[in-house]
Amino acid sequence: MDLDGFLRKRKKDLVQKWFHAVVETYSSDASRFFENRKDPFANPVGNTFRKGLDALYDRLLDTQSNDPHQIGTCLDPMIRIRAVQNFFPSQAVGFLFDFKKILRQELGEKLQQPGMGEAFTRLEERIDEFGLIAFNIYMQCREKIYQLKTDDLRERTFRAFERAGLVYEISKTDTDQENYH
Amino acid sequence: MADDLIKPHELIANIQPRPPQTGWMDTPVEIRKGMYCYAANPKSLETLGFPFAREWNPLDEDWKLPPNWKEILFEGMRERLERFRTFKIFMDICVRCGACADKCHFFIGSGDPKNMPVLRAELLRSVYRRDFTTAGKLFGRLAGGREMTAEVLKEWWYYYFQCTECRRCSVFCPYGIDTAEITIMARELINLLGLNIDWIATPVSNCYRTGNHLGIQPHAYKDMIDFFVDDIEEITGVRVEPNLNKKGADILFITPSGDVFADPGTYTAMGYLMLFHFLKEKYGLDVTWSTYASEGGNFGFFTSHETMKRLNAKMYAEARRLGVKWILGGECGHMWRVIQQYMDTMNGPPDFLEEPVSPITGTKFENAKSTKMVHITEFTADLIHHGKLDLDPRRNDDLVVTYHDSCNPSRGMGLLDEPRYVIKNVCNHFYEMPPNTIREQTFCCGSGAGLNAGENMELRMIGGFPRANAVKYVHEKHGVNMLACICAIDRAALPPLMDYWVPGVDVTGVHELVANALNLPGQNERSTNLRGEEISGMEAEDE
Repeated sequence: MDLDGFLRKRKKDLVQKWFHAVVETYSSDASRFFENRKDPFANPVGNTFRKGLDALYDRLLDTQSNDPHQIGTCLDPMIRIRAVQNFFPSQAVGFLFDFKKILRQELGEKLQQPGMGEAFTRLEERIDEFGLIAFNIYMQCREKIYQLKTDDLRERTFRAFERAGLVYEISKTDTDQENYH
Repeated sequence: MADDLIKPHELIANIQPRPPQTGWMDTPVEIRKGMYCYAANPKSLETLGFPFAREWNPLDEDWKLPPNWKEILFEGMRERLERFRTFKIFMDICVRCGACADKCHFFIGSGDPKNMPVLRAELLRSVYRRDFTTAGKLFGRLAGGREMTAEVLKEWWYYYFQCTECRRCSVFCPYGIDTAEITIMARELINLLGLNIDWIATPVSNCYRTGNHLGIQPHAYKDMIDFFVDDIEEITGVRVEPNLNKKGADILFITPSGDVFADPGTYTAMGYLMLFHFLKEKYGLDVTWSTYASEGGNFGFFTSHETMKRLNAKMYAEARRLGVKWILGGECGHMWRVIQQYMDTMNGPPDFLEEPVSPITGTKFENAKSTKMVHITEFTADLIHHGKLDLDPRRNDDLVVTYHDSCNPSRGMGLLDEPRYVIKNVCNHFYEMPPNTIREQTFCCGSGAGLNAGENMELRMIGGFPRANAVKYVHEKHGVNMLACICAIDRAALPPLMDYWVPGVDVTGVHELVANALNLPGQNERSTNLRGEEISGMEAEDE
């Protein structure tokens, strides 16, 4: 069986192992909860990863589809969560690379079979590309957080005062432009 | 830290496959940027006469505690255990069954075990056990006791300001333990050492001096109201004439200052103005606003019982001064918990007021018999029920609305159906979020109880994630583009939450929707909603 066949046959099992590796990056209380509570609204983090990894797995296999936007759409909900949780940037996106380890373990001796090594390297490269897209998303999320922080006062109190003519008008565009100089 | 640049070797050294596996008592607190609010401005504490006002930084090793801090804390705890029977009971009866553990939005979002309500409460309870119970005194840690140290104090501070007192956990507690009360007590104790946060202390100080959280003086308050009047005239062609500080009015109206000074609450404030104008024109109802009782919110509630009482007192004082019959309250969250559960015994009974009766429908608001204060959604729902409003919901047809039950009105006073009744009568497109995320089980916005600052944005996003996740579901399934709520904190907190998690969903108060639909006598062809946005199918013809 070639790598593609192996991955298609073992999908359920491998996604579960990947999911398990992700929840293991949290404390034991949290990982139990994220893993076992199935209700998507009571456990949005666990549910997002369960669904997200499943879809991501399909994207990894679908080598014909290389649209970074589509891959990004698939990664976004997961990275968005990790970007505000207690993680270093490396940890936030690191779960993608954990999949290589899982695969290597699962493939074991099979990696020595003819053609398997090359196919595995290609898959690893694909995971790396996904990792880079994930890092872009991570940065977008962090930038959004900083933007929300800086907008906080301006958007709420300041604008109301501005509309009432109680303060000198500085348009948002002006201040944004200043930031770039 | 996610927002600090670190060197590659540090990065590699810090990549951990799993978090520390030590027990909670032995896992030291790590104070992370983005998860806490800044320390209080000492001037604000001085204004209020609060103890130990000083400059200090949560990231510093030395928090400049008074030398006898432990004594102060224990004395404070002893005093409160005697004074508040609930506190004593809540310290004693928890069996750590864990029913609450996975119900807190902060735990659900962050996975930090110290955000499980049972464990957050245990931070305080373990100290209580060691120093206030016989078993704990004898057996210490074996009996679940923990020594109070400066590190433990820091942990208290960090985690009790990661609780929004939303009480979702208490809905699931088989013993009825109100974990919010434990947070309230912990914060009172922490504040005895001057460890207040600025987002609470400065609004409290402002409110104490000028009557509202932003410290807006009466003339500026009036300017804002005048501005709304101009805006309403521009949109509807009708000039409303609100009363300010009018003696002898029928009803005193009090709403959070956020409605007057912060978008999108300002549109809700315009909604109130239009409703009152309609009722005045049609039925002669005389409502007055007050520039003195210019704040419905009460951040004193997040400080201490005494401070809450001081700030709340102005409501009845102003009602007495103006000689009104009863008080109508705007769309606010914790304001209603204070009114419903504390005001009557703190500053009441207000025998000088009448039992609230709607002069238009004759409905007696028996639930407000004692406090003499009625929630505006009850008031409006009653008007709609009796067919007293002239409504054209089509003006809200561009909106696909869902409703977020604000924690305090829903869990704190049981106000569940009235806001929905109002929305359904003024909007044609309404969809509920999933059942375990609304009504009594509603998820907090993640920014309540004084945590609505800018510097703790990560905390707010994590805490608000379960709510946002449910909004995302109805956004994707039904095309929901408007999230309605009846709380000023929500109106401030939910827009950035939506911006991060569910772009494309805006936030509104219920009375903004009411006013969009409300036909005012003598109005022009209204082509825009209160936000000045063109309404599909009603656009103004080009000149």
